[in-house]
Amino acid sequence: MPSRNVLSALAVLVLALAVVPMIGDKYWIKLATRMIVLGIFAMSLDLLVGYTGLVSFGHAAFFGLSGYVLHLVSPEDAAANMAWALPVCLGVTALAALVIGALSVRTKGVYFIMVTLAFAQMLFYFFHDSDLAGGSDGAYIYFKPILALGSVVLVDLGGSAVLFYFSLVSLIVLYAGLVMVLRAPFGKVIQGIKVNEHRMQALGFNTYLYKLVSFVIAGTIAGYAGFLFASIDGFVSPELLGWQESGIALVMVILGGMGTLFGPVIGAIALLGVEELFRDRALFGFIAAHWQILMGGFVICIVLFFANGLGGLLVKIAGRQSEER
Amino acid sequence: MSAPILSATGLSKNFGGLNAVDNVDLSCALDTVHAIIGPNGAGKTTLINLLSGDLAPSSGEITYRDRDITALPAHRVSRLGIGRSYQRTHIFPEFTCWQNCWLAAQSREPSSLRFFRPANAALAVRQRTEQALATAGLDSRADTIAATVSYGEQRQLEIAMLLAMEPDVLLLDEPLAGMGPEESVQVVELIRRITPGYAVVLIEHDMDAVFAVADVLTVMVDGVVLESGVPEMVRQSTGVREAYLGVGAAAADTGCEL
Repeated sequence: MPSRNVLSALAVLVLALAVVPMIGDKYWIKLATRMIVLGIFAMSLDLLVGYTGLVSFGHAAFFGLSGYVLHLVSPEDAAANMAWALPVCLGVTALAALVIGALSVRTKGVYFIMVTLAFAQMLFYFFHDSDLAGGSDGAYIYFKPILALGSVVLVDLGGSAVLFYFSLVSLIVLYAGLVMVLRAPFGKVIQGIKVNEHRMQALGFNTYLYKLVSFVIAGTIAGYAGFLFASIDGFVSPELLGWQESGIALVMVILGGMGTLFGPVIGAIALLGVEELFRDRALFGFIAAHWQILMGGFVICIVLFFANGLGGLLVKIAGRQSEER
Repeated sequence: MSAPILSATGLSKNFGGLNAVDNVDLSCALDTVHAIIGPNGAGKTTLINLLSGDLAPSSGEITYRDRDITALPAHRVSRLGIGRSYQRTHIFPEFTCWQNCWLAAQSREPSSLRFFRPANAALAVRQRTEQALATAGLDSRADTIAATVSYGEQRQLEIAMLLAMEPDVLLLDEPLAGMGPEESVQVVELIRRITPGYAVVLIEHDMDAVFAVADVLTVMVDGVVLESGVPEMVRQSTGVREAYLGVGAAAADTGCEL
């Protein structure tokens, strides 16, 4: 649980995001929504990397799979009702995480990285090469999901501001939920496994079971993020499940500071924000076309100078202020 | 002496061509300390690893309370009530002493798949944690990060974690290893104090400590049991004397007087 100062800083960040739809046009609302949704995705990966000691390189499998399931269950001429579409997406993702996790959490270290990567690539090529959902071209979700009770539409994710606020509330609720889980016995056990798995076995914990449950929770939350992400543009493509997407999530976790939950969210916001900045021709001229070079330098600088990432920096600054008081 | 609650018969473990443990019989009863001594490489730690389920024996049988536990994995053995400590400190260095013990106490709950109430809300687990810390004399260190307490205190913490698991068999693998004389005396006192109610298997090189606490003494050399019985009897055994003298100067230097 972060200190009160850190929580205040996070609250300011949330408020700053919350005003985006009031002052920005659709482009900025979409960008802010992507930041939040990828923040949820990165936060779910942090549960594995930062708290369970499982470095997954295939986390995008669940992110993309959920988006594809949304495409498959959405009618072509009407919006899918979230009341059942969301549980279906999460259910399929959780099941996939259970199967993939059951086989991969037996392995450790670099083998775990390889096995998760291999499973994610299998799913990538499944959607890339099959005609099920548009193959390599991807597929559209023509009508974005709604939450309807009978004929009354309560929430329509087709509205960009609605989708934004829905995502923001989801982020806050999921963050609070994960903080709760990490304070509960389950959370303490997985953190013990991260520090010393063998000792946990000697204490009598079936570490395989706890790692698997953690993997399924993280995969399901990634699926939730994938559901929202597919709703932003109403489009899914195999790249959502690819290793680049898994890699970007890892970069967000490391950039933001692993083992903090909020850090990876800051990492996601920073990565997308900085990309936006570096692509600005007015600021960076001809280099803007090669913004990836600048981005690489930025990530390297953060990792070199702030070992605990941007989240760690925030904790440090907030801590210093509380000392001064 | 009461009936044994943990016993091994014909226990062997081969690593390739090496018989690390060779046809060992061993039993341990409540309220007694069964000490195992022997030169380095005698197979003592391997024997503990077999009893705790960390290693699967090549042959032989382990029985705990009339139940065959030979093939059980370590976490199942631990849950039954057989706790072990390690020769090299094996704790959670980044956590506080309290958190170390809490994990040990929590391990006795039927399940830790609990996601809602905060961990320290469970009163029984908290009490076990605090009691174990108090017994091991670490109450004042409860909120200190384990990596920063003294080496001797880390060894005490290992024992506190064992106690928090509420086992009835304690497998102690060189609890005094690397300790100064004063710390050793404290831990020997601790072992003596907690023995009632437990069956203790103790591996130790410190002969003063062994003779101070052991009710039964087993001497192992090259994986086999050379002698086993009451400490006084073992002390007189000519075979043991020869074995220890045969080990050479190393044993004499460490002050092994049998």
